[in-house]
Amino acid sequence: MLSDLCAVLAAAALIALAGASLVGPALGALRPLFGRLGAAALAWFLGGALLASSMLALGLAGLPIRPWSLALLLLGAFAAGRLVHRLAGLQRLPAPLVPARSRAHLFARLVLVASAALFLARVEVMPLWSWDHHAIWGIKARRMAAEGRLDLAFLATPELKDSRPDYPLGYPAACLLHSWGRPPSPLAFKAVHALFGLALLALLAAVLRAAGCPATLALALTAWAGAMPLFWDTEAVGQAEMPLALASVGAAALILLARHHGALWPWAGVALGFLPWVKQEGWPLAVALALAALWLTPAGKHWRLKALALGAFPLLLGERLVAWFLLPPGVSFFSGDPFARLGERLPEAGTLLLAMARHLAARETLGLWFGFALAATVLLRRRDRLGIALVAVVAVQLGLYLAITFGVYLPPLDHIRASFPRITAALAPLAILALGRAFAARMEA
Amino acid sequence: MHLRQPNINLLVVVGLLLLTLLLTTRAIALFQNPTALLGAREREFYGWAWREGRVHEVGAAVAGLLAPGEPVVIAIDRSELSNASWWRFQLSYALAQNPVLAVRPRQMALAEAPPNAAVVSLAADRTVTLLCHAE
Repeated sequence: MLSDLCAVLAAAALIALAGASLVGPALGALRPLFGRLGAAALAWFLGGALLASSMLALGLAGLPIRPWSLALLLLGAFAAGRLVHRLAGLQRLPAPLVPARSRAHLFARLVLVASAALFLARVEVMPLWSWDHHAIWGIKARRMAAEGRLDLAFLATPELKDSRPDYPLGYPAACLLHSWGRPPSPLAFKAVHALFGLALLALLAAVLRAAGCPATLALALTAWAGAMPLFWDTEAVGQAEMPLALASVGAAALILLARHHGALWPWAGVALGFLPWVKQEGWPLAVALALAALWLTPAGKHWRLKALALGAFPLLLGERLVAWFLLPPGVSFFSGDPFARLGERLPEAGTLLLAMARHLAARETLGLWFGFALAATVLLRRRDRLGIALVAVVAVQLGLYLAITFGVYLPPLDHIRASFPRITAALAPLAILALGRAFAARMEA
Repeated sequence: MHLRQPNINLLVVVGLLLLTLLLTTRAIALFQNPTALLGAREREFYGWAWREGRVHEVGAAVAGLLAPGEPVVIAIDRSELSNASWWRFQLSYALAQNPVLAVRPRQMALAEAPPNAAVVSLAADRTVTLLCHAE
């Protein structure tokens, strides 16, 4: 048991080191704004995104999936990063000032630590129970490497037709990488989930500050995020919503920071490119974030978007190649005649919208979506481009879930009940970022 | 929305106090009885999913009897016959490394199992026994 935990933590440390080495001096320059934890979280996320997808690619090319080969992969990535940055001779970027800390700041920090500790305690105490974890994500992580070889043939077996064999493999691959190629134990799944959660909290606190929030407010909003269903509800443990939330906040953070530190544009692309590796709805999320980046980039500086595309393209292409040539076809949510279903469901639109609104307004969401609606109003009234971009990204994803509800082959109310609260929970950190931006815009006025 | 900066600071402190209250309540409940503090989703799905999830305990017990990659035929009691397809479906999820070839009544399982497969008996009380290994 303890050895599983140590193995996950050792892998995470090496992945973060490799990620830090690959991102290079730009990460060091961000440290005063992000803090050590925020910088480590970013390095772990980017390193994990690149190495999990690389492990799959190399595994398909015949690389053994064994502890020694994965250790070589991690050390190789670390050495390659050091070499590239030494050859390129990149300079450290100027660091922003660290603000003074008040009593309120210390209080906020304490509450955030308590929120994170409670998240960890809950994950530790509760069993790994979510059926979608067992049936969809966990089984892939446990089966995709057999006797030291990557083997995706099992996905085509008839018994697994209901385990969504067409879903992307980024999250199961990340779990497999953290357990050194062995089938992850329940404790390993929990530990990886905890790492995703802690990284998300660290990144959210950092990106809120980068969006203009005072440090105390950023910590308070992050502590609030840590009390929401994505962290508190153990249905999320072992599922892909937490990784999706981390990837979306990571991409938003890098887009936001790359506007001031140009060296980060390709890394913003990597974060965008990893979104579809995590979940299918990562595609529209990546497109929405890329469009937001385009909208936020001044005319005449569109070369930056080429750097963004350069970072995103290999991962996006890789995801499509895996989906087209390696994964068996799954049952699409829009299979059959979605337009006929849309016609049938329009008369009951009020009932469906009310069911969704009821979930968004549930007590467990701690008033987030009321706050988001208020923030959207403030940001639109002030014509704050960054804030409007964030609101638009969240609104596009909510609109997508709405469209799915009207076209899905499943009974729509059952679909809302089973999925809507879980998938919208993954949007909560981006919604909080928009809320933080609304406060910042108000204070800047 | 006519908040001024001092109001935002006040809002932050009040928010932090409320959050502290919420976290304290949760912490006390968590250490008293973890499952008494289920969220709305957990209240709705935990019971069902965990009951179904117990199939993984059976799966782990079956897997413990087999070599990695060894195919298996599950032999069930006649009383479980109506659940045969359910068990095949669920054990296919639960067994990470071992393909489930079939779920059959005990005598048929022993007679029909191919030589490269193990046969594991699953009793009505969910205890499992290895009847024979693959040749």
